[in-house]
Amino acid sequence: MTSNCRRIAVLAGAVGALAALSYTTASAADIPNSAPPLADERALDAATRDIATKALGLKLAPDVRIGHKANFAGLQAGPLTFTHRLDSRTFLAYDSRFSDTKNTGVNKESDGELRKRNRRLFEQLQIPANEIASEKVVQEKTQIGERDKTTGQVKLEPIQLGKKWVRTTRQIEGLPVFSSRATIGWMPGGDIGFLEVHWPEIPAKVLEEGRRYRELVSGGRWHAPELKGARVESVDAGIIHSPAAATAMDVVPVIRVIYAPLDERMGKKPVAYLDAAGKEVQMPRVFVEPPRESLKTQRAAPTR
Amino acid sequence: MRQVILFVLLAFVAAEAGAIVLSTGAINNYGGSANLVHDIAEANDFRAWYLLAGGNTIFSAWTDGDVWGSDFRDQGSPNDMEPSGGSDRAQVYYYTGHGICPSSQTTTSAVDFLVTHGNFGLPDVTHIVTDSVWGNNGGRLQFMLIDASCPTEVPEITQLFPIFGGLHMVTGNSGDSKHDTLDSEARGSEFGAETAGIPFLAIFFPHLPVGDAWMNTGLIDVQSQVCAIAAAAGDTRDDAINRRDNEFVNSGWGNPSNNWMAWKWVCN
Repeated sequence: MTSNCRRIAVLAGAVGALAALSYTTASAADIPNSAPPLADERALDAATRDIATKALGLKLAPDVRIGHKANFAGLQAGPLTFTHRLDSRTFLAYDSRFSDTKNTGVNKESDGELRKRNRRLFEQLQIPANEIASEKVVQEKTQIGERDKTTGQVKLEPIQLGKKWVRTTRQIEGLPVFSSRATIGWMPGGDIGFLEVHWPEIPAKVLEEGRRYRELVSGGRWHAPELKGARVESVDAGIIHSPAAATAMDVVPVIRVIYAPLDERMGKKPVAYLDAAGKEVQMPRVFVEPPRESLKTQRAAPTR
Repeated sequence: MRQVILFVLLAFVAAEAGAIVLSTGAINNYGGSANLVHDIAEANDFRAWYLLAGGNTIFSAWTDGDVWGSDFRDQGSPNDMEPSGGSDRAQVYYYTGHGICPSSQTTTSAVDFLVTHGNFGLPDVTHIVTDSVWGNNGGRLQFMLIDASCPTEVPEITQLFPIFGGLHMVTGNSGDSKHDTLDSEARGSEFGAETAGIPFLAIFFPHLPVGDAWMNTGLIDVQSQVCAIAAAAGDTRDDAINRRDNEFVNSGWGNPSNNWMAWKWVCN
């Protein structure tokens, strides 16, 4: 068992123990930071710190604030924040210096080197390499313009290259997991500037159903329903799940149909997530309990 | 006693500085023509994160026919100051619906359009370059966040100067009819979470400046070659850069002039 396996095992144990505790709904300010924590909470805090420092290599300032709430556990230390989900293989980290490129600069390593860093990080987080569908390095471009208010003429500065992000998508046995992704932005020196790895475990039953959907689609036995004003552009079986920032974690097999509007100028393509019978699936939830809103349901005609 | 009053007053002012007045406009129903499915849920999620953050208030959250084209136009009647849902009434407006896309991203023709399907406030098509000005004449919009495919095309970006009448930033996508954004609930939900900050873990969950939040989330559920773009106005060159890179929805910074604009984009 590698040291990382041990860390993840510790985390799993801590999470299991914490699941038996009753979570409060108090605000973040109520997270105990000075009172002696329960043994299980101490284990979770230690696991949180271990993932941040050992798996991700985050260099924490001495003043670490650490805690957990609902399905998240995290820490903050100086410019760094780190969070992981207790119900999913989901990790988020952000170093506020990453955004301030004027002072921090940007990573100038080659795409190949960044991909290597990406792979090492995946290994640390126990993300199976054979689930990587695509791995792409994208780079921001930046530009500045000044407008002469009298003439309206815009004076443009040259385009500059900005931050690099490695974006990774997921498949399992060739079945795309549309909602899983990893986006990692690197700072100069190879420190993590931003990280979002959302790679939840997929239940075997969902995977099995996904395979069945794929057979239906590839066998030509499944036909996408028509959508008025649009044509079917693509049909793919796969899996969707709740997003990284969520209090729920639902995982659903789907057949995804992308439609292209017949009026080609119309932007944003309609997408349907359907089951084998061609019915819309229940979309994965974001919130277990969304906040209540008292919204007006009908807008009055404009006054003349 | 005076000190106590002063403290309470300062605390109140501080709380107010961070609080956001927010609107969303979401359209699924285009009268049965290329209807979308996920936009209303997307806007609901976006608002939910701001509500959970505490202190923020919703100005309007209209859907389908109750989102009017005039909500985004500066002139005419009704317009973006319409009391029940004009886009210039809130500090943050999140629009999700159709836009118009060019046949290629190298076009120099006018392409930055929002497309509504309103019960009133016609026409439904708004060319934001010529029709929209935000933050002017008593308007308070600071962040116009557009999830409508192509209304912030990279080739047309310099034409956006006039929309900054006090507006701080605009975010959106750039693409074309072959490389387009997809109808998505997750894109707006994640954008909301990262810009509002996760409330119950406020000190632990990454809270990003608007520009970087969009660089990350603006490429969720998009086809290849689609770009996420964020543009900020500024009084000076440095001010525009600072806003583009570092401004949060709740930074509480004053309104910029539109002498300078700094933008960044990243493509899938």
